[in-house]
Amino acid sequence: MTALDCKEVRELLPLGLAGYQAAGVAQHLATCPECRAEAEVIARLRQTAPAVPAGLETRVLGAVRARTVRRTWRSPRQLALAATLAAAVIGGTLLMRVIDQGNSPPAAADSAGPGGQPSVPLPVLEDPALYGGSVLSNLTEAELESLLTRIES
Amino acid sequence: MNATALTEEPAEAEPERLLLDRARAGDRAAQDVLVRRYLADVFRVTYRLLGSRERAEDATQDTFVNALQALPHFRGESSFRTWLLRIAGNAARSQGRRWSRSRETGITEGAAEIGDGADAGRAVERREEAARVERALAQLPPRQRLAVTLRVQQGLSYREIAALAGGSEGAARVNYHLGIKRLRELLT
Repeated sequence: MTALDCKEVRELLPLGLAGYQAAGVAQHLATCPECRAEAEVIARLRQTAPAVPAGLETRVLGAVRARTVRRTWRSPRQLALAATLAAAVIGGTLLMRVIDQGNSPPAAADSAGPGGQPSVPLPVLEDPALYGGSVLSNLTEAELESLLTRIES
Repeated sequence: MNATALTEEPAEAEPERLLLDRARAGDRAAQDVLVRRYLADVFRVTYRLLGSRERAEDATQDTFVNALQALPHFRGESSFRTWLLRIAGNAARSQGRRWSRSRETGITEGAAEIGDGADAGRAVERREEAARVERALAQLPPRQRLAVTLRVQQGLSYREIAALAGGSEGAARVNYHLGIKRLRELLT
C-alpha cells in the first residue's frame, strides 16, 4: 500500500472512509500530529451535528399529502397578477442596466467587456474580501491550488 | 391479509430508481419513504443556510412539497439527493433570510438540539461540547462555516457545496480548508 501524504489524508478525513483507505489514513495519523489534530476537530464536528426536531417528519408528511390543496390555491387571476409584476420587475431591471451602461466611466466599461479578462490579484489569506467568497469565485484553478498550498503550509 | 398490498409496499431500503418511479407515479407510500430517507439531510442543510431552527423547518417542508411536485421533471442527470439539496437551497433562500446574518441564532439553537439521552450528566457534557463547537463555528466567515459543516456533517462534495453556497468547486475547497484550519486554532 502506498503511503498517503498530508494533502490526501486531509481530503479523506471528512468522508469517514472504510476499508483500505481508512487503514492508510490511520497509518498516516499515527505518525503525523498535524493531521491527527485535524482528525480530532472533524470528529468533534461530526458528533455535534444538529438533531432533526421531533415532529418535523409528521409535519412534512402532512404537508406533502396536502400539496394538491395548496396548488389549487393559486387561481388563474393570482397567476396573471404575478406574471404582470414579474414583467414589470424584469423591464425595470433592464431599463436600469441600460441607464447604468450609459453612465459608466470608460474604465469600468472596458473591464466589463467580453473580450477583456479582468486581472484578479491573488488575495492574501487575511483579506476580508475572501470571507465573502466573491474573490475566490474569480480565481483560476491554478490560483486556488496556490492558495491551498499556502493554507496547508 | 392482502398479499398484493404487501408486495407493493416500498421498503425503506428499496433501490432509489424504483422508489422514484413509484413516487413519480403518485405512490404516496414511496413518497413517504423518500421524505424519511432525506429529511435529516434537508433539515441540516437548510438549518446551516438559515441559522434558525424554525425557518429551517419551514424550508424543509417547502423543499419536499416542491420536490415532489417537480418530480416528473427530474431527469436523473444528477443524483436525487443532489437535486433535492438544490431545491433545499432555493427553499432556504426564499425564506428571506441570508445565511450570512445567522451567526447568533446558530449557536444557541444548535446547542439546544443536542442531548436527549437518558444519562443527564452525559447529556449536559454533550450539550456543553456542542455549544463549544457551535461558538467556534460562529467565528468563521459564513462561507467557510457552510463549507465545513456541509462537508463534515453532511458529507457533501465540493461540487454540491458550490451549488448550494454559490461560487466554484475550487472556492468551496479553499473555504473548507481555511475553515478547518481556523477551527483547529479555536478548538485546540
